[in-house]
Amino acid sequence: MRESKGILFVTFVLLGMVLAMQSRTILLAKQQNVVGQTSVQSLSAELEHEKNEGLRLQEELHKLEEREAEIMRQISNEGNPMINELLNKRHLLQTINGFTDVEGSGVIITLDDAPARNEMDPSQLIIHDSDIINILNELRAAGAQAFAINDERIIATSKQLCAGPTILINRNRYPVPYVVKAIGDPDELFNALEQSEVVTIMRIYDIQVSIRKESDIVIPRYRAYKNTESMISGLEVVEK
Amino acid sequence: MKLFRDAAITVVCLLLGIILSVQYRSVKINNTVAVYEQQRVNDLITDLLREQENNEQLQKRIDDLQKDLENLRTGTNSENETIQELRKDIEELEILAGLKTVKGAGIIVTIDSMGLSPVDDSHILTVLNELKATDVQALAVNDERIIATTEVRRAGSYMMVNGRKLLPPYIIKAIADPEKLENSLTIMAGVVDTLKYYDIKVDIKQDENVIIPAVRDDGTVLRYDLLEPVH
Repeated sequence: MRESKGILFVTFVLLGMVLAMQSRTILLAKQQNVVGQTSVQSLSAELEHEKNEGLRLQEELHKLEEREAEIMRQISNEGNPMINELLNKRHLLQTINGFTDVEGSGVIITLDDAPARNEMDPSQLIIHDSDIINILNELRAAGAQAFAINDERIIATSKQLCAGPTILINRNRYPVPYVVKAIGDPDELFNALEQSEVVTIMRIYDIQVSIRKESDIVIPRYRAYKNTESMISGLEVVEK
Repeated sequence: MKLFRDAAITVVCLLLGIILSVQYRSVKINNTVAVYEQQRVNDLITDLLREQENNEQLQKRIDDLQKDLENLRTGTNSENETIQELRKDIEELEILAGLKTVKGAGIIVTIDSMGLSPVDDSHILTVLNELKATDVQALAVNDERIIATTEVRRAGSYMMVNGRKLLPPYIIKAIADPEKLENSLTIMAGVVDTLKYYDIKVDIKQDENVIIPAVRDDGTVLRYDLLEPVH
């Protein structure tokens, strides 16, 4: 009789402790959530604002550059034809470097993660940076002359980094779906991709890959602004 | 009476068990949520700082350009000055496009197979991507300059780069801060560790005078005939 009272006592003490702990974690979690959410929300809003500001500044810069070229052309037409020649050369180099909007026919590839399935490791269902790198590599081998991922122009030093469920291109982070645009010979690009190992394997895992030929693809210029000087600051020209 | 007490104890113990398991679960879920949230906040802060820096640079460039425009309009800039400025722009763009042989501090990475399977294109591509992520300014594989349209494709025991056959060992040259470049590859569980697992040896050497040749200028590498300007 004594013994069973003791057991009851211990059980109720435990019950009381557990209840107290449970209510504490719930309260704490609520608090934490509120703090986390507000900082995520305010940071997202601020980021959105900075991005829009960046776009506005880009637009302004672009207009100024056009205005400058216009004035230079005027000066050239009135006097020195050399200026016109140099302007054309500069424009061609800007195009080669991916600093101008370009248009042409080619292919558009849309990639999306596979639908979630319980029996599979989720890392096999999502698109990795290596998949994107391989697709770009196929496009390059098939003679593509310009490409962009989600309208981020790919230049010689662009990197594609997998950062959790998003991908970092140039400076910007993108979630799925990824849209890869490439200008080149549409048939060659299309066939190279359809027959490529990377696309075949992605399709086996049910990752959604659609490839379509398209004319009049517009690929925007490199948006992550950096002045040219800072992109070549460590390079010294070796005369041959 | 005894039956009643036994039943009561059973019920209480059952309740206690259920509460314990719920408690355990909610603590675990809370932890995962907290980690995820923290990651998201960190990402946002990084993005925000980058964006702000970018906008500052843009604003600076706009201010400079406005000054230039004013000088052009008022004729403060002579024709010679304008020509000189254009020439400077052109030279910078040529360097950036890989049209000049360049020299600078960087690293030289030698990649070779130690086992039976040859070096794969994906190995080279991973190394290149890591180096690009470290703000590299010029890159080459076996002296073939890497530009935006350069492919790296394995064909049997050799590698096609810029449409040219390259044989192992593959020597990647990169110009940028040598310390940062090396660290980007040797970081724990990074590229070097991964490649070692596939029996690929990666040897890294820092060098103050890495020379990277210009892109081959025979019209087969640098092609832009299909690109039309947008109006």
